[in-house]
Amino acid sequence: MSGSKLSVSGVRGSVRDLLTEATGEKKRNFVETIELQIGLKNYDPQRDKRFSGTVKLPTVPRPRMSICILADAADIDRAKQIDLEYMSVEDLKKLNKNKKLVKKLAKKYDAFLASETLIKQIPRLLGPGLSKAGKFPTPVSHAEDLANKLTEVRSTIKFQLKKVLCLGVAVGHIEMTEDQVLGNVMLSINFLVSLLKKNWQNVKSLHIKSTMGKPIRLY
Amino acid sequence: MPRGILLTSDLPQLQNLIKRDPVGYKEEFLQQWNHYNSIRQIFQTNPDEQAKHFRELISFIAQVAPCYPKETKDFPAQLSNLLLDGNAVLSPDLRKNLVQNLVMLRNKNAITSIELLRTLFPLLPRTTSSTLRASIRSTILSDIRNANTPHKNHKLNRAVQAMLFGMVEKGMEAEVVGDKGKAKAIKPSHDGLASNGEEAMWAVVLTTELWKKGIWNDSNSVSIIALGCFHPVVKVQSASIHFFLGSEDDNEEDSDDDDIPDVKALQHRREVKKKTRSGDKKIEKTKKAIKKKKHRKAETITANFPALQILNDPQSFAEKLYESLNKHDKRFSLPHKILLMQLMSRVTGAHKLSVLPFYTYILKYLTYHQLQITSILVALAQSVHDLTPPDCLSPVIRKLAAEFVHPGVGSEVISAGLNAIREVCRRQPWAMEEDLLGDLVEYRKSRDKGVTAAARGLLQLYREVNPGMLKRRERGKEASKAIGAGTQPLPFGHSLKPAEDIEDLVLLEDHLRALRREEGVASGAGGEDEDDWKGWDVESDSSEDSSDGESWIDVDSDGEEAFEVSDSEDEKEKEKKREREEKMDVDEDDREKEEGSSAARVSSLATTKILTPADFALLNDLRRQAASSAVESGTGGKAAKRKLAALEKSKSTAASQGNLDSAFISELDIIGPRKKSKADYAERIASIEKGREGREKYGSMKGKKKKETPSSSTNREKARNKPIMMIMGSGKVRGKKKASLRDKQVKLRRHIEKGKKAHH
Repeated sequence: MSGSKLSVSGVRGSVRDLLTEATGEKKRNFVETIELQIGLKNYDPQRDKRFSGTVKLPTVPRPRMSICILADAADIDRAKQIDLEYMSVEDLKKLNKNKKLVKKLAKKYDAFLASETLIKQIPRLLGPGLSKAGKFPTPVSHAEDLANKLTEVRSTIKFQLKKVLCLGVAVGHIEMTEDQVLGNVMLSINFLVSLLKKNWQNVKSLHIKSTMGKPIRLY
Repeated sequence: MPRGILLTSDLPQLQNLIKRDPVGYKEEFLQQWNHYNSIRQIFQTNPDEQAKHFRELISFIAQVAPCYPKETKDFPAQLSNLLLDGNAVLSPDLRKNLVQNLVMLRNKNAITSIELLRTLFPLLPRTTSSTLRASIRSTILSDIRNANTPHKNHKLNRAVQAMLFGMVEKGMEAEVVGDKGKAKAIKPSHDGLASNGEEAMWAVVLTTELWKKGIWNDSNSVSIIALGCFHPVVKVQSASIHFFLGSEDDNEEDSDDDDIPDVKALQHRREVKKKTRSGDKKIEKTKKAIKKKKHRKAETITANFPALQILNDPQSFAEKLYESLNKHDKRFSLPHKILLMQLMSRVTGAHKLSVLPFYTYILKYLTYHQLQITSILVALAQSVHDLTPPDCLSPVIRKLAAEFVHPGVGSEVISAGLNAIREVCRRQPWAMEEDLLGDLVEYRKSRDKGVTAAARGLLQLYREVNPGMLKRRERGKEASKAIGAGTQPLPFGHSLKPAEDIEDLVLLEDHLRALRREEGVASGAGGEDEDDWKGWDVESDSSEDSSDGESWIDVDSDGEEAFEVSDSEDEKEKEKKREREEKMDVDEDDREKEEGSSAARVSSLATTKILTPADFALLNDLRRQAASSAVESGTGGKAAKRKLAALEKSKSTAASQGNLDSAFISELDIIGPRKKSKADYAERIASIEKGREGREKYGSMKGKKKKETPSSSTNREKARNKPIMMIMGSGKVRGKKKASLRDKQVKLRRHIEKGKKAHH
């Protein structure tokens, strides 16, 4: 066993190791993302409750996440102001519910926003392609500030079990300070464990890993 | 050569000798081999001649084939050719013999299991004898199972799955044969189609069985059966759909539990019985076996995703299901259509798909006199999820209300309709219109219990999700308060706000802070030296409330892997952590002062420490306490009570059914609670008869049971057993007492006379 328990200082040490390795001599030409990988055990997907949860992290883990807004006229103007990519209803109609095109659209961006007025038409316009990719748009009302909404979307991570008993989420990048990474990692671990029915007894392993680095076992 | 003559006539003898010394008897073997080849030639032209001898020769060669692998290289292929080509002309005995020998060759590793399976699979639909079929089937299953223990044999699995997929795919192009009306009468004329149906059926059956046993659990096997759902033969379709609906897999699991022996009973028996070393060993062995079995069970559980979840491309699957439903609407019988609907709705519900034409299709079935309407309502409700567009659901709701919920129909119809509407709206609250909801909710004043319960359920649902749609006085206390506070219902497409920390973590934080403060007061706020902190540690250890490494102990104790209790956390680290927590504490106090008591407080606990199992246990306790205090103070109303009940339930039952219940609804949810109607005459008589079963007839047992031969009692017996008081009261005795003195004297005299006469 690499450790039957987890202490804050241990996690801090692992985070430090990871950061020094990633920013050291092997520094890549891009900003590596730090991922938290979780293995589960004693979990019967047939019987147990499927868990899913979203949590907002204290610091934005993926500032460069590409977002597109499916906008009505008013929101198009707002999007233009902050250089946000947008698609109008006409653009969406052009996709013509073509599955391949919708899939392509879903692949192109990491997340979607949609004007509140449009959100009801999304399933009709695009079919289930977006929700299948886990990228169903987040609604935005005219009253909300777009920039704030963007950071909110960017700092939100989602735990969702797919067809395998392990999952990974991006919790930070290597340009963050150690404390920021630590805060994000701990919040995500605590939140995940609180979602599980038997809490720690369902957790098999925890790793953190930078995009190009080695995985480091936490638990 | 006498030796050769002897041996040709006595094959078992030769077999025995060859097995002992293959090299020495090679010549004899070759002689038999040639003989076999020539007989095989004869057999092809005239099967009946020398059939028995041929059988014997085949068994003989199969037995000794491993000794001469080079010479008998083609032998297995010849056997399978015989089986597959001349299947019609083979006699049942010979066919059985061939299969047995092939299996034996497999057991001796002369052929691979793929080769064996390649022969056996096509054989299954062709054989007419059911015993042979059963044996082939069990051979196939056990062969695949053996290949997959202890590790999965992916290569074999892939090959077999490809073969099965091919078996299903072969008949796919044919026209769908319905099971209703005229189309049913037109049987497929050429036997090709029929055999395809058989083949596909076997493929589906075998895959289902392997899936149930947990031998196959990958997406390939699911896709075989997914393909089977569109097979032209209705039987294959329905078998495949049943696989997905999982209607009959419960009893399979139970049978596995029975063969685990009871260890305690064994140990007790051990104490009572004679003590021998072998007995000890036996117990050890069973213990080990049980442990292994349990371990294996846990392992099988881990990768056991429900088939619906690992379906490949669920959207097109659901769309195809709908198409086949719509296209063959006239051809399929109602039960089959319902099966299709159920499967389609489960797929849409589980994967949040949208098959919008389904809601217009189903409209025509939504009448109260429709047969099996409850199943249809179940399918309708299951297909709805939170991303179903409300505008295509509202016609459905309106139709439901118009058809089911009006005074002209029976109360059970009304309650079924209301329940169905409730289940749809639970998944998509925006499908409802305000004035319709008002009307429906009025039914809670009905005199029928089922109707009231259903209407109340609907009311309760909307109090929770969207009280704004209800009339003011129907909103209830909680909901009115919430509206007053300005909470809005979740609009369509909105997911819940991302959590900023764990629910109720604030409670834990408060608790910990209070604990620390208490401790600080007790130990004197100023003096914080090492000893004090040790005391704190020890105390917290005993109460399991501590928040540091000490509390990594197994709290639930139902998992086998407990967290080790460790005391080796070095003091320094602890101190550091404590300092940090102190700091955080101070910070937070300050912040709190600034903010006042804002409603949505974000606890920083989750970002600064790792919550231990003990913490989670404590958190659960605190939640329960908070809920119960809310109930006692009466501030929370019914919602608080419900929350408390849910918490208590989760505490008592560790393994609850979970989400499956809420995802799939049963017909009982639609029918709702029903008043038990008064039993009619036939039912009453039946229950009386049932009560009489197995009991003795009422009445006296006198003279019936106690004698050897049953008979009634004799008069003598009756006289002897007559109660004395009755005798004393009888006229005979009373007359004697009351008789006059003279009569008594006459009687006495007569008696004496009689006595004298009798003596002489």
